[in-house]
Amino acid sequence: MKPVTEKFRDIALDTLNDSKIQANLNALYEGFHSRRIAAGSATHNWEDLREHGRSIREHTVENLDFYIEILEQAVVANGGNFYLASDADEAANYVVELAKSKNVKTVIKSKSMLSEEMSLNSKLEQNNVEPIETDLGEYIIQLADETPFHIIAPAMHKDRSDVADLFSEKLGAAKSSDVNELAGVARSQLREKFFQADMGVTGANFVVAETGTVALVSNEGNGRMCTSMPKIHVAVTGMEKIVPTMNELSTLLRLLIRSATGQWISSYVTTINGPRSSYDEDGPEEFHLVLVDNGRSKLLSDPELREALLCVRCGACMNACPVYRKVGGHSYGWVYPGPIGAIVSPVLTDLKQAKDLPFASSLCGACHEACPVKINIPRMLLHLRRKLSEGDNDLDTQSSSVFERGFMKGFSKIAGNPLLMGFSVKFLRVILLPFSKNGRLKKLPGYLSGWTEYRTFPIPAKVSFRRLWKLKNR
Amino acid sequence: MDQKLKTKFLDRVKNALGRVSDSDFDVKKEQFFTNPEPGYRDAMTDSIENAVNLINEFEGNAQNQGWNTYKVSDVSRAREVLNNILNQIECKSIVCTNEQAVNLMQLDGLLSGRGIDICKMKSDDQINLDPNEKEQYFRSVAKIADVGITGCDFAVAETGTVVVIPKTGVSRLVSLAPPVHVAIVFLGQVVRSLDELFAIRRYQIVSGSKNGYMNLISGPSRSGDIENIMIQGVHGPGDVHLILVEQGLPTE
Amino acid sequence: MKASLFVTCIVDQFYPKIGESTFGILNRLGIEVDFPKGQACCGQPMFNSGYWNDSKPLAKKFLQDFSDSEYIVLPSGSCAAMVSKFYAEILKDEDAALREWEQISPRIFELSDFIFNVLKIDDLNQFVTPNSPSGVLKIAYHQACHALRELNILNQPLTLLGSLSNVELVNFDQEDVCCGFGGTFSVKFPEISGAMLSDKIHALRNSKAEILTSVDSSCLMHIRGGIEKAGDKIKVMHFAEILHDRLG
Repeated sequence: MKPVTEKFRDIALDTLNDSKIQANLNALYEGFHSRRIAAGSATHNWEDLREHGRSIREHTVENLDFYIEILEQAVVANGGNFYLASDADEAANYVVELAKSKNVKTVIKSKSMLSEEMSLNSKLEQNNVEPIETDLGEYIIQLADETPFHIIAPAMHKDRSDVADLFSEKLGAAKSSDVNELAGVARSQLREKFFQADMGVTGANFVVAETGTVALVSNEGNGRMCTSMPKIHVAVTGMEKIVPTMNELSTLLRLLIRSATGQWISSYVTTINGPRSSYDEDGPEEFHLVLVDNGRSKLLSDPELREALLCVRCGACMNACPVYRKVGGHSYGWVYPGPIGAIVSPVLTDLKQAKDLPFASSLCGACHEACPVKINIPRMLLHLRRKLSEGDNDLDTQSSSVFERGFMKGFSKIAGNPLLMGFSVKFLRVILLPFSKNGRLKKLPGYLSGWTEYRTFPIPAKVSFRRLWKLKNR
Repeated sequence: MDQKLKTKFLDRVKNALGRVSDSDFDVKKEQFFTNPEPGYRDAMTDSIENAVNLINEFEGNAQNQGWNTYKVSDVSRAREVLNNILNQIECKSIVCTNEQAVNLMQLDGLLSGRGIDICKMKSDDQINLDPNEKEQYFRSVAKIADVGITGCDFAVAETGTVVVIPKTGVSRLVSLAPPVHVAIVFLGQVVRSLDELFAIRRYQIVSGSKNGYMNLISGPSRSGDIENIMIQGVHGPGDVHLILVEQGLPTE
Repeated sequence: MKASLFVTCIVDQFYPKIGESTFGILNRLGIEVDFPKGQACCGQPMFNSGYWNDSKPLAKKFLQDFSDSEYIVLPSGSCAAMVSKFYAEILKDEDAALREWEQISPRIFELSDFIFNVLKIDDLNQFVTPNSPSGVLKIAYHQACHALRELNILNQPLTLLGSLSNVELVNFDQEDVCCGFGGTFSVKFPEISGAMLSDKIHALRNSKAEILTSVDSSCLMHIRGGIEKAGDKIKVMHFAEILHDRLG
């Protein structure tokens, strides 16, 4: 997906002014967010699971090179094909070339965020291969030619009338306001595709190194269809999704599913160890696992940002985030939105282009609290802010203005000197007093006018606390 | 894959991790992977010793997950219940697996004279077809079948999950394609939690099992993708039934 | 017992009454309060904006000014989080300063946390004076984010407020959600900040609250500003001011 991270402000503003999307975003608090909390409370050892989950992820990331080698051995021993793609283009090429070499006409796709990184659908189309999204939400946005709004519920910004209009326009379906009927349209459209498709492309929620297993979490059944019906199955995922053995799946699946939707368990969890064997009645004859870097090694190499690779892609952070619940997923301008997206999207694409993302947060910490593996997102946002403002160790990430840098330096000098500070604030009060009423300003000038758009601003007190103290303790 | 590309990829990962040498591969292989057998044995023993409690716990959680459950004392009651379930549905054709739990239902006898097509994988009337034709035939039947009937390999009490491992006689489609799925679970098949299930499965795979696909089925197919309203039966079965038999599967 | 007051910029320059109330409460609870007069800004605005080098001298100054303090009490959750937690990031490469900070950090407390966990007071009724107002005030507590999530401050102010017979704690919708201040966030992204604030004001309007309180004066400045702009009647008072008022 081509990043449009520089459009954050514009898209955010549009979203703020869209009352329908605001209603859908607001519903996340009682929806996914509250349900996650309930599922966590109902799990008697939730905090232990979080600790355990974190330690599994940390261990794997710290030994990623080792586990990649183990994984390759296992996949190949299972009769599968294994490919390491350095970037999204290379991964896309692998899939496209494979499709071409096998005369694939249609590809059925189960949800894969990595395939979005790859812009796989458009690349397949350019090569005369028809990609069909089968996850209901992804199907909807594919028809609408949009990008996902949320990693778990990609079409959450649309209401049923939007979907009805879309199905009517693109599929000639009769308009209905019944959600069941709308899903029925998708079901019948896709059913034929499931049975005819030549290749299935899925993501992977986790990949087990020891046994070469892909684990897929789904509710609809499309993941099962994509890995049962076609002759070829390709799984594409980020290299950080590895877990050591199947034992670890129990903890991680509980954390992922209960944090994503609040479900106790999803309708389906499917584990796949390669192509069918002679003891299988059906299933794909070919299995391909494509493990992708695409900038993840950048996160890996920075000890302050490495923690971002612990992410299990549950979406809990964006459900918990009061900023995401206002600006929605499209504002973030790339595949991963919300708090984790504010770290991953800039680093995997271009930090300077995405310079608004790390700053568009009040650092409230709700994401850290929500994360099943306790990723300290605010801390990483602060580190990214440092890279953008000061330039950290290498100045080429610095994108702050000379004015702002100078201002901060000056501010620091004044704020560190009580005498200077007292003087400056007194001076400020003198200037502001004539414009104020009852100690309040209704309008601040220039850059600061954003404040008074929504709030009054207090003028400084006549006598500061420290002056009062001085007078009292003479 | 191409060795040069692989080395380039791995070197980048190693550099990122600050690896100076990689001579500890074998040491890690020794240290990081525990023996799967004890976990397997414990899980299996637990599921047998606590079979009655586990099947009851399973029933409750299965209901929470949206299964319609029916607990019966033996096989003949199970056949009665199955008959009732099928009576409630407009059922013209059934696909089922060729496994002991399903064979015990003696579907032909149960449903004789009702004009219902029953298609079982690897049954005698398909014997003249070659494997590919047989598979295509079964697929075409499954696509239009009204009900799919399976047994299970395991069930998980913690999550109300039925575990189906496709193998000879057990196609992936039976529990996926039709709009209704009936699963039959016997006493002793229920394991306590996901921990036990994956300990068992790990052992199976590491010991060389060739059946490399596993489905954990925990209720009907569903989606909340439109307005976060939960609907059932999107691509998989929307109507799912669980017959719990309070007897162990007779040894074959 | 002695404690040093770290008054914080906003209180010092904009809301000195909060400083006075804090001082008064601590006195009433038997604490001898001093005010290291060289104290300055904790450096949070620079740090949050990514200018860590500019916040470093302020961190070192803090250590200098408060090195002799038995306890350091702040009427602000976010400033307390800054000096007791985030200084570790700023001083990472400064061994000597870092070690000094490690000594001082356990002695730093936000006001309600100090009263509850250091003074071990969970019931303020014993400190009520004859001047204490008899009418019951309906008070809503805003769960200031840094206090809540960095310092685990929620039970302390709620228990202390709830212990007063002339206080009735009332709830409001989504009370654990950020008010939208976030320091420079409120200036850099005013529309988003304003939208979050609007939700907060709306929730308060639909509640029974007569007063909104919290342990962070910057959140309160932001919320009060929005309430005033909207013309709503609900009053905004800092936790220290409420205690001072309710105890009489």
